[in-house]
Amino acid sequence: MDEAVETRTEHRSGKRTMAIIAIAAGAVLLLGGGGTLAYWTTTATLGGGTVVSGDLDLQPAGASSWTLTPEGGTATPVTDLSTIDIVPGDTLTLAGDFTITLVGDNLVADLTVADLASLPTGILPPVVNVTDDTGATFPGTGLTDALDGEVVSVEVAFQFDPATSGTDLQVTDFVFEDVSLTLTQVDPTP
Amino acid sequence: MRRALIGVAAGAVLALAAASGVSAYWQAQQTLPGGVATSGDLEVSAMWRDGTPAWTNLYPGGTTADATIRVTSNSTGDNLRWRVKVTSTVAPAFTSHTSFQAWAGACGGTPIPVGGYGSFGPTDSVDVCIRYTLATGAPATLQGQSINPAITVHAEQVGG
Repeated sequence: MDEAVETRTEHRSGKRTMAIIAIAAGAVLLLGGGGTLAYWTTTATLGGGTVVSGDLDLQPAGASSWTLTPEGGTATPVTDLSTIDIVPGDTLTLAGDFTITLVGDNLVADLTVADLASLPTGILPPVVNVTDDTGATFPGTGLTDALDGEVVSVEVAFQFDPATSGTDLQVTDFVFEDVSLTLTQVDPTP
Repeated sequence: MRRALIGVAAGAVLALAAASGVSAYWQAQQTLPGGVATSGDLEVSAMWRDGTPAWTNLYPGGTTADATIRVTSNSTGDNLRWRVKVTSTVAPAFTSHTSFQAWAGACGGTPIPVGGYGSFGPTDSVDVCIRYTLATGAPATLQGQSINPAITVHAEQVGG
């Protein structure tokens, strides 16, 4: 009987020893893996500073208006779209002035027509042009901080497809949805 | 296994974000008012100005009496301009032995070319004078047959 008790005691003692060895080995491994052994260290501080982020915004600077231009002709103002009859080749242009905010050393943005869910059949995709305060006109892409703070004229031109043939699309209503202009930052190094 | 699934899902989300270009760039938006515009139409009518011509029989080298067609536009379009074209067909036996001529205004005046003539407004009218001539070499087999002339007037929008 005493021999049996002794044997159990030895067995327990062996298990405890193995557990202690395992824990110790784990601790050594963790310390080694984490690199937290007490090697020498020193610290130096560099002077910091404040960096300010840029800004991008588009705000109306006046009312918008429509004009109608015959192919190769001169634009005439349209006070009410419902009073005109357009023909193939005509261009309806929606124009408005906007204050552009483009602050950022590497800020480049595109001005596009957004959310135009459906163009009327027979109307070509709109063309966006921007005229700056020097009178220079250019497409609404690749705008930079050179335009920051300027009031620019934005024109969105919709042309009635001059390839419309026969008697297609005569006496047809063309519904132009509200036009959303979007100024979107783009990759400066595409 | 679960960890692997999460990794795959995260990778898929990143791939979708890259593919759809939804990187979080700045954006500002303003809305301009739309509206409804209506297209015009191009519609012309043509009728004999002085009544249907009573042409006498043609003979080789002979010409029909002048006949005038009045072409009237009842069209709409703020910027609509149109030109007139006139074409004719005759009975097949006469095709190679008959010539057709058309002028704007009086016969012998301004010839209407194949590509058309003029730049008329939506409610303008134009007179077109026509003549048929039977060739001097027309064969005798054409004697007593009807020429069956058919005249077509086209109005075609003029571009800028």
